[in-house]
Amino acid sequence: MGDRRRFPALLPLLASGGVLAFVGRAVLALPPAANGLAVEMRDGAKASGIKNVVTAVLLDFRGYDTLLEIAVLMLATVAVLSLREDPAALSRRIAGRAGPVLGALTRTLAPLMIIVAGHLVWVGSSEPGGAFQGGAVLGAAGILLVLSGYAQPAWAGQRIVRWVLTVGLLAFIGVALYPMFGGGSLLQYPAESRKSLILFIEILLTLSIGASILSLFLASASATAGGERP
Amino acid sequence: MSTYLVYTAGGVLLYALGTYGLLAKRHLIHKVISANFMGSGVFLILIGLGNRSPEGGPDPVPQAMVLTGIVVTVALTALGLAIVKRYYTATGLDNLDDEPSAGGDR
Amino acid sequence: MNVLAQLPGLLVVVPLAGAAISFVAGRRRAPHVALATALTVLALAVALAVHVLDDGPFRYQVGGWGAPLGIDLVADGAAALFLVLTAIVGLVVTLYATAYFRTDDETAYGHGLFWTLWLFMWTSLNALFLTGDVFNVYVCLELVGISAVTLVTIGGGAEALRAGARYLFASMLGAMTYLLGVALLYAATGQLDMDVLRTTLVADTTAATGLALMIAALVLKTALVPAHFWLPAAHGSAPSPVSAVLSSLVVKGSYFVILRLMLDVMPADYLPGVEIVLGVLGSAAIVWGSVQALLQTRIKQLVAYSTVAQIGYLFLVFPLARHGADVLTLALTGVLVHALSHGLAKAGLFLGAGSLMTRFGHDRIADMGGAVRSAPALTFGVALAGVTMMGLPPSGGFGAKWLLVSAALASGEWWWAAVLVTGGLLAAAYMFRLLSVLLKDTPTELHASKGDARTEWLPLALALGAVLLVLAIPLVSNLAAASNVLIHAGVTP
Repeated sequence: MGDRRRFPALLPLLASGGVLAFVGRAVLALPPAANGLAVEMRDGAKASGIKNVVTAVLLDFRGYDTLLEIAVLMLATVAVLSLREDPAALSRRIAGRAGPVLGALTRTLAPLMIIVAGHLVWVGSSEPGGAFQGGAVLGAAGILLVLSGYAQPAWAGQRIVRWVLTVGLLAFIGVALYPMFGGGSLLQYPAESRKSLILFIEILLTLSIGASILSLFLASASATAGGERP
Repeated sequence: MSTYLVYTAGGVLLYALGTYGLLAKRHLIHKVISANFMGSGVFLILIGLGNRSPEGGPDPVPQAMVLTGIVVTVALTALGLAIVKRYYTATGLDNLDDEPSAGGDR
Repeated sequence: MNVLAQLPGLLVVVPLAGAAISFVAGRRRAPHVALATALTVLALAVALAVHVLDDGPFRYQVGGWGAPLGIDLVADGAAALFLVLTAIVGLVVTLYATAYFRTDDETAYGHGLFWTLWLFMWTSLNALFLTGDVFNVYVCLELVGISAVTLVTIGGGAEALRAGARYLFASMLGAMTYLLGVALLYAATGQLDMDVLRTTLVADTTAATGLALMIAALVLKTALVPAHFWLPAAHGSAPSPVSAVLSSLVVKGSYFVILRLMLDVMPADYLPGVEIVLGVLGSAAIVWGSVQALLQTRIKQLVAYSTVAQIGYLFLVFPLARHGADVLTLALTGVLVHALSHGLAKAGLFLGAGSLMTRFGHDRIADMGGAVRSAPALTFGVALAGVTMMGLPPSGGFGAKWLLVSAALASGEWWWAAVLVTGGLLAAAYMFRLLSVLLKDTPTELHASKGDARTEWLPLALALGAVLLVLAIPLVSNLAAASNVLIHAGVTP
């Protein structure tokens, strides 16, 4: 094995140097001003009634990318769950009880984080925010609760957990299919209910994304942290 | 030098560094981190090049691509870490160059 | 709801819904969800193919925006063909898996999630065959990659984990390279839709670099020699139904995007010399893969190296495409028939290999003598799949080689024909090595109890399909004529 490694040692250098040279040349060849699709997107966003252009691109114009992206996140969660070394791993105690400082901090922070998550989803239509940001904060709140010993979820295998993980994707699929019955195409939200449908998806997605992040953490953390610690 | 070139050049450097790491590093965790370097590099390039609009205000499409890309990279990283960890528990190895001892976990 | 007009959207959302439902349905009901999904998707895919044959290709605007604002799906003849192939192999593999995962209960909790992972993979393959947007391709590729890597490791053994890790890093490298390519292409052109790009692409260093990076990434994901290093271990150590899907379908997903970019999106000579490089690498793959297959002592490794070789044929279309409309038509029809026949036969071979391994309790070719006595249908299936692999008449493989050889001779570049013939002879050599053992009439002790009827007959069904494909060649050439490649080349009016 030892002598096999001498030859490939050149390859990474070449690859990385090649990237620098060719991509650098390609970047420098670009004109310093270009609009891309910015103008079309801004005009389109005005027409769709969503103030935040990026949100309009993510959930409306390129909502199909976002649907598949939710699928990627749920797939990764299922993937990591399938790699658990022990089916009971998720339901074990992960850490001991919290000390006085951590306990007080958690008691203050956790409710606040849940409120922040809700706020992020709500403002997502006009300002930076949305389901992913909200879900990330929600997932972090869950991790904090578990680490400080407040919540010890019997996480895996429980039907309710599977539902929470899936409900965002299922709702998204439902909303995506709904316009088809009215002659529209996939994800073609009707103009009058566009805003409420997007908010509905975002709220359920936030729950699922939060649960996904928590599961990703628990599935890999519990395998070695185990139940041995006091 | 324009601002967009600073971000883009940073992105290209980060990407090249990640490429080297992914190919040259033996330790599997190093490889996962290197792939994240590459991801961050591409995101910087996307954001940098999307900021060339003469009418002010960045192009929202690269930003949406970056947001999607971040979620995909998180998913890939989570899977990568899970596999690396499982491989380590099964074989005690932290790289792919050494062969697992015969029999192993099988 | 006008189902015909909605087919492209449904072909993605139905398996996606199946994946989500199979996860909440729990272990016992998940196989039923998967079977119901498989049947529905097969019906949808066949309906799409019939629709495209009747009315020609059409675009489907997701969200109703239309390119360049939104994302469009493209339903043409070539896409329909790959969708139908995926649906047929998908249904058979689903049926086989209901038998396979019941007998193999090692690390059963991972297997409980097989159905969800497999339906996610099916979703992503369908999405990949339909998408018309270069960034959406990235998301689809990641869905394929994550589900494929996880399915390789689902058996949980050290060898599978090692193969999965190698596959994962190849997948990560490919993903990042592809995304970098898209970033450059978008910066240069301001477009992501393939059809808009096709009509607006002009000579430009940045756009060319971007497209070159995208193609390099896709070549890595398709495992074309010399980027095949991850394939044999991954396909060889995965559970057999997974190996079947990986070899028969997954490599064709990224190949299909290369086909679109090379023959439809980019004008001829946009990346000068790339088609020759791909043709030469394809030829190298045919020879190298076959020679390696000949040297393997374990059955699934042999079949996996055979995939490395068979992928090579798919790349011969690129150098041949430069020689005018007639040669292009022959070559494109040839690779489409090859993709179908290899897809069916290779899935049959891997499922057959899996059944043999369960019955013998090991994977050493040398000790598999006498299989024909106790599992005649299974052995016959493996033999038939071998016939189409070698390209012997009458079989789909023969039809594909015939079309490709005709294209090579018509182009005046006879050396591609020489590669095709050599590949056929080498395939005969490695298949005979396997078959000569299986067909030996020696008594053996087989685990008869482990032989479920499904695991004996389904490989045969796939192999028969690959052989009978020779009768469906006119249908395939009609679908080829209804593909955007030939329409935009002006072959089909």
